[in-house]
Amino acid sequence: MACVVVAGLTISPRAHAFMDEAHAAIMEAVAGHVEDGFTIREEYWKGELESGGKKLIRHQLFRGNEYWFWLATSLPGCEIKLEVYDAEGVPVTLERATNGTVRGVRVTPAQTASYYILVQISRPSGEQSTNPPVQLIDWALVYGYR
Amino acid sequence: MIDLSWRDLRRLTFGAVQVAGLAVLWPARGQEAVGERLVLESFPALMIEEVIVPDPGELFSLMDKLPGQPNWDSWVRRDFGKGTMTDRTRLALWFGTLIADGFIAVQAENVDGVNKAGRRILELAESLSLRDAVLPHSRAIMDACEAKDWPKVRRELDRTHRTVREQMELMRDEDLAQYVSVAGWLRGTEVLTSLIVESYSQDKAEILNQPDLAEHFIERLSELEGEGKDSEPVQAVLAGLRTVRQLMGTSAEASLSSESVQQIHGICAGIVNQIVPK
Repeated sequence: MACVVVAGLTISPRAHAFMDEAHAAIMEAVAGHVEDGFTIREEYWKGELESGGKKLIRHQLFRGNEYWFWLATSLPGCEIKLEVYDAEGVPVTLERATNGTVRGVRVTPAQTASYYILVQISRPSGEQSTNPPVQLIDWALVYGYR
Repeated sequence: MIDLSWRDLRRLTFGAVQVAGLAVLWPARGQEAVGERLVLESFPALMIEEVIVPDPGELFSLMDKLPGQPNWDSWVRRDFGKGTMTDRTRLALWFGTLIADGFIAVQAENVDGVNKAGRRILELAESLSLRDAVLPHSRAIMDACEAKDWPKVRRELDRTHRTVREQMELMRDEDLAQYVSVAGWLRGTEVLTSLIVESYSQDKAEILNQPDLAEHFIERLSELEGEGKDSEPVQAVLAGLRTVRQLMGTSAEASLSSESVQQIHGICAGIVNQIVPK
């Protein structure tokens, strides 16, 4: 597959096409939460990671609201890690759920403040790295509140 | 009236989520064990810069959960700004306040207010050359309003904001996208602070513990290079944000005093008055 290198960033066209697949998978999976009164935000985070790579997202949460965060990739069989931490780095995830390639975590913030969301995706264990050597994995992260 | 504390509310929401339907949709689900602490200082290079600003409804709904019924209707605009203009910086700022006004009218469940906001949003979208992109959302807002489907109106307002931001970025108008976001946040904060001052409590004031968001807007606006950056309203926004950021203090100080809330209100109201043409 052809890759484009722009200013040090490796962008895989195929992965770009799949980012929307990851988002679509989440939107399909969260329908039940909408029925339960959750507002799903239209804005969402997306990107690409090397296998095992991590990203951290800072996000404002409000005490009194209940939140679900959902992370997905279009690549089946990946190990998906999603955690939410407070400003001291203490994990605040109360509950987690998995539905196919979508991983969800529930948070009810103890304080109105900035929190940190850790995203990590790894290829299925035992899978060999193929050409190109560093193949990126697409991901999308959506949140909802009530 | 039932007077619920935050602890009561949290217990209720914890219980409410344990519904059978979700268990079917999410087969693998369980209570989380305590995980490992994260050393945040080890992650600076991995931090994603993109910030998703909470929508006004996310903050407004908190006010409705707390004791004391806020008078949302008193904040629904009777008119949504007069005249037309060609300055795209001012138009984008005005557009941002209108999105927030839509959320305020929804919170008040004011059909006339939502319809007027929806129509004005479409008019301004036309001035910003975004009519085709916004028209489906404007229609959906009116239809959902007619049906009094308030969650759907909120969703469409959020979609309108996202569409406008994406279109502006496609047109290489990233500056305008920032102006829309910050103006919406300022108008939302203006209304929120007024309602908090009316019946002050520390729980309500804690909603304003958003110094990182204020900092985010300051950084983004300071980085902009377009000609609008030096305009009077943008400079007023930047100056106001710097004071608001100071008043919001640090995340360790969760609740602002009534005086600080009043000061933030004055700053936000002054900026919004400059943005919305009379």
